[in-house]
Amino acid sequence: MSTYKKPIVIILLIGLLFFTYGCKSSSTEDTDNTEPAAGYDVTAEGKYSPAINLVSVKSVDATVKFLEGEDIHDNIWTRTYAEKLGINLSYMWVVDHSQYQQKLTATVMSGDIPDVFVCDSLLFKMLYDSDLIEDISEIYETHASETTKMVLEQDELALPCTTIDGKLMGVPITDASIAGAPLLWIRQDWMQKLNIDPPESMQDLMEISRRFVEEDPDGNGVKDTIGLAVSKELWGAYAGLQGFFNGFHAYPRIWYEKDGELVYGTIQPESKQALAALQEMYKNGHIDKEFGVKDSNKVAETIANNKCGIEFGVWWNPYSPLYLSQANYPDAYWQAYPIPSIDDTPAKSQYSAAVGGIIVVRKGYPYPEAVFKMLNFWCDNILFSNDKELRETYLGSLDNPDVVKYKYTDFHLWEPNAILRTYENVKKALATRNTDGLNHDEWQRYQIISAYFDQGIKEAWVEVATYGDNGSVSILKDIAQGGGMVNRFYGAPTKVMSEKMAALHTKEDEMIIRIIMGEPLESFDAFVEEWYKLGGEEITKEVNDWWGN
Amino acid sequence: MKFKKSPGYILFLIINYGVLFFLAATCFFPILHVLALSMSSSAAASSGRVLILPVEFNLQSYRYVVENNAFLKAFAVSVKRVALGVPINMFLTVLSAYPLSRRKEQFRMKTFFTWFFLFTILFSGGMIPWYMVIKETGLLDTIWALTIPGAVPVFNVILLVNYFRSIPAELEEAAYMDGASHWCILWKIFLPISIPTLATVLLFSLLSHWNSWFDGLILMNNPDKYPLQSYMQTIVISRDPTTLTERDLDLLKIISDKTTKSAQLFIAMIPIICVYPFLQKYFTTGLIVGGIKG
Repeated sequence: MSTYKKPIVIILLIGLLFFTYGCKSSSTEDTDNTEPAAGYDVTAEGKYSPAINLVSVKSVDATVKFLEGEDIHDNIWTRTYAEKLGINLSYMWVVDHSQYQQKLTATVMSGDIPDVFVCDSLLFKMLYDSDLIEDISEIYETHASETTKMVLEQDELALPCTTIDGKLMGVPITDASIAGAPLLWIRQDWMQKLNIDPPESMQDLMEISRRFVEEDPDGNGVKDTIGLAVSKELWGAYAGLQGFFNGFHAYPRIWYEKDGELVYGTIQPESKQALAALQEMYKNGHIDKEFGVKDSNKVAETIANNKCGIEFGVWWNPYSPLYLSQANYPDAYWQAYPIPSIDDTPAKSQYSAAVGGIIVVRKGYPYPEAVFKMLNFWCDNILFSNDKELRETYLGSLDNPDVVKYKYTDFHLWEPNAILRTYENVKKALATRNTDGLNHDEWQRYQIISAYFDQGIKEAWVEVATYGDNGSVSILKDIAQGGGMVNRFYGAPTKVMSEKMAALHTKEDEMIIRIIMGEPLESFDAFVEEWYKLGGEEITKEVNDWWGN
Repeated sequence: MKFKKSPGYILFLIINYGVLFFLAATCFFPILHVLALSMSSSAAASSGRVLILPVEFNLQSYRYVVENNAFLKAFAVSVKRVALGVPINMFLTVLSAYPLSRRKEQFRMKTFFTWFFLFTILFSGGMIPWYMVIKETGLLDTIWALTIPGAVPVFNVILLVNYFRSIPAELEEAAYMDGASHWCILWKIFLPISIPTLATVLLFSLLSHWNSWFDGLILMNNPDKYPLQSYMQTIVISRDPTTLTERDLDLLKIISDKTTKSAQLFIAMIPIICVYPFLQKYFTTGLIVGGIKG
């Protein structure tokens, strides 16, 4: 019965928020409305006349829903591009997300290249090598608006990802790189119950894990809890091992600088220590005995089932899968901590450039600047707008929360810094209880966090654990200010890398799983030797050549 | 007939039934599990508390499926595909099997054509040429793209050829003496006595059309035209957790919604479950007899 009530509470809560927001925006309209009107003119003057045709391809997934009578070929975005920019956007095909790359490859190979499309870094490199895409360096300088440039350059790793031989060959779809940095998540309610202090070091963490296993934190009288959640994929966005390795100053799967050259993290001696610790934890039952066959969905079940109390994952973990824990056990509360260290040197969370995709232009397409016209329209008019009507028209409205309109177009970028800024603004507002100057998103989060503290609505813990005062985003801030370890290799895959890296990754994962499950540590050294022999040496050389340039 | 059951025989029966029951249970358990998941509350399903009985019984997920346009559309496409594809398969299988089952004196090019058919089982052009052929022939994005490229299932042809060859030559000769043509021999004599094998071939063809998903994803240019299994693939597949970002969160919620997923899986299973028992009785004999060289 109680599980049935929760969604209703959340819906009511959100409904309340939007209702009050509606009241709020009407009262502050005078101050808000000075900006957006000007935005339209900027793009209006850049309208193509007569209109041009732009053929693209599109991936959709189960979350893309339309208003009655609309579809992917006819919606607010296609109409806007036609009316305001004079661009007739059409799609050669539309495919489910899971098959996008495959279908795109088939299309490109058969010689039918769309005018503008999104691809991954592997295909990007191939297209460049085959001279099929346009160099857009100059057009970027002349046609990207100030705001677009600002968004693209905010994350210093973004543009270099799509620059080959000094030429900008595509537009990176940006995201915050630090959003991928691992953090430590612990069941706060269990720690309080067993009277444990927050972990200061890796040693503390292992002690907490021991007590979680032995002292029955879930209070069901059975010793059935495990300490650390690990999935068989090893490096997932939740229940991954990157964070654990980082605690030992090992940086698996990334390239970092050591003694003046780039080295591959997994094969460094520090990894061996991390593996030794994991092996010990596995032996003592702190890690699920069957973790080698449990994928991340299965691990989410363990979390939902109140059976584990520690995991390493990224900042948004409370939204999924940790919320399941609280949904089933109302008192559950996961708290984020910085990665603890095994010694006196502070640990650094590892992260890589977050380029979700690359927008490229077919070689010979007569209007390459159309890409920036569309991106400018998004960045100048929509991205920073607080105009309720505009947001509802282009992003989606509350009457219809399933219909998320920005998903109809690939030509939208998000601001990498938005997470941190939202955190700062919400924090300030919470301290002063003054919501002036908050944008729509921030205001929403502020309301949910207040509801947790003022009205004791426990479902709201998700926001408290992320954007709250000591939430996960506060740790990202430290990571952004130098407390992280960046993957120094962000180029397109090199030659040997694209041939052999996948196989090496598989071998690497097998080695790690075997060692954790009890194989002697010496096999790590054997693996390192093998890694160099099976192409690792050439890849290291390629990476360093790339870095030297 | 009655005979005395020795203790050894009884023991054999017990073990035999035990093993067979266990085998059947391992096949049946996943189906029951999916059914139980589809009728449980999502909280219970997400925390893995459901085994073979529904926990916190409700039919919300079935309601979702009935109201879900995409599922119904895909179901309709699949039905259409089967309705078109299976008759085409059967017709062409029969027409190719008959000449290939003739003796060499009757059909000189037999060896060549047999190898010609077998060749397609052993070698294929790969995905890109396959895609290009379908594109250039204008089938892309139509229901024909799903039915024409696989119109002659060579494995089925071989099954039927072997069965035809096992038919006593006297039957055919007698008909020939009475003035029957090849058409007449095929339709009036061969087909009626090949029903077990035809049923097997029909089942294979039905299954392959109902179950294939990859061609739908690659050959259709719009998710609206996906057959059922292609649609199922898009909701059942799990995202690679190493490349997840916060933008995937809402998708993650849909994918991790086990109850609706299970309900759709279960409904998609129903047509085949319904057909199977009726064809099952021909299935074993058809397959074995077809495999013996005549």
